[in-house]
Amino acid sequence: MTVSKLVLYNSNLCPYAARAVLALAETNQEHEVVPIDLSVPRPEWYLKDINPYGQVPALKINDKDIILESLFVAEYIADLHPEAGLLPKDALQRAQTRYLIHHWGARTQPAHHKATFITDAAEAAANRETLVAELEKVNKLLVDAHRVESDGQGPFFLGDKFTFADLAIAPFLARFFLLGQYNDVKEITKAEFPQLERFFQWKEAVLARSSVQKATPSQETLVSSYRKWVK
Amino acid sequence: MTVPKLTIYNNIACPYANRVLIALQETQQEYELVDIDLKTPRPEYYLKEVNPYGEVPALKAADGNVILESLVIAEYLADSHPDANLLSKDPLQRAQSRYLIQHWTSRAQPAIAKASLALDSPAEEAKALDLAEAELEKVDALLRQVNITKEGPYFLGAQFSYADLALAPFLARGYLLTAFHEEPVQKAWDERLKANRNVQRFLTWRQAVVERPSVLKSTPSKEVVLEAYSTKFLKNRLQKK
Repeated sequence: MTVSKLVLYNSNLCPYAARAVLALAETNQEHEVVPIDLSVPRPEWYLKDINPYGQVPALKINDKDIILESLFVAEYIADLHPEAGLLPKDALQRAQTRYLIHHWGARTQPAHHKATFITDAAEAAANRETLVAELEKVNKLLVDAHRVESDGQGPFFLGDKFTFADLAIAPFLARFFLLGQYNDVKEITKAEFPQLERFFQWKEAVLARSSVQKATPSQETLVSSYRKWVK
Repeated sequence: MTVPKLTIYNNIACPYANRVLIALQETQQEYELVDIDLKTPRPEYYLKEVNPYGEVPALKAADGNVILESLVIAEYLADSHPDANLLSKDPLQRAQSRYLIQHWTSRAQPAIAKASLALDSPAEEAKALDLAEAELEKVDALLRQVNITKEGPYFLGAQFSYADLALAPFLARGYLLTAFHEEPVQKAWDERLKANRNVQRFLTWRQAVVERPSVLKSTPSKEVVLEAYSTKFLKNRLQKK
């Protein structure tokens, strides 16, 4: 099946939609973007023809098929371009990729959310500790990533190459700095937590990637747009 | 003595672990099965060396690498055995397969679970059954959307694949929806689905999936399922059937 036309329904503020944006950028895939304003009710046509749940991202292919869910959209785009090497060929690396993405979403991100948005001082302190514990688990997953020699010693999840796990978590790493913006939780640093060295190395490399920078709103914009989550 | 290539940590009552058994059957490989009792505290070694969360399933490869999460394990087994054709080569079909799994998990299965436990009043029961039927109609629509030739019986047509595998353990437990309701409700539900033209594709699909040999081999008996489900969700409300 040849893909002649891709339309991405997107919102610049949405970290999930950013995954699709990153996949398109990293694969140089031609596409159109239709912006969807998430601050107002979705237009009728969007609910009817694109996504009855009203969410972004959504991808329309050849004016016919629609893919929903950020990871499925991003993986579809990656699959169209095996030459971009976003998805590792090795089955174990693919499994570790999927697991890291699952783990971040199920455990790390919720811990970050709690530590960032709960303002009660006592709770905040405990939440910071929990987040550190969760980051230690991520650190271990990064350290234990299965690599072959050709993968190199580089900072990304699987070495020298920026791959799907880096892409899927990048938008959330880009929002990591929100910790402490709404409460007195102290920043989590490499200096205070040397056991998180690999995590910080990874985060730094991912955030330095130009596609990630282009897909991330300014810090000011993010701070003000996320304020509504503060408890 | 042959060293097994794979060790699978399993519990037959767990539908997520059943996924892995189906994948093992479909890819026809050798493995060692270690049963993990979910009713008692996990053994120390399991938490330390395999899964700190204590859950099943888990896979340990001969080289010591551990893989957690049923879908990740199932896809790993499918990836490692391309000759089993469990993963479509078409990127769109792969995306649609993942979406069906997610849709079932986040919308259909919760509605089914709710209906299975809507035991307090006829009004609650009726509402829950309506919602469950509506969700099955949405699944039916997804099945028809993909399979343009309308041939089945599996999600992608003649080829049993990843989406069928992932949902098989839940399809095989379909009777749970009415198992704890009064018997007339059970009968009425079956008749209702048969008469609803918007779930026919779903019913064809479900039957084909649950009758597949690899699924039959990987599914516990109704007694085991009822006992596990009622212990977990019904506690004191178990009705003797």
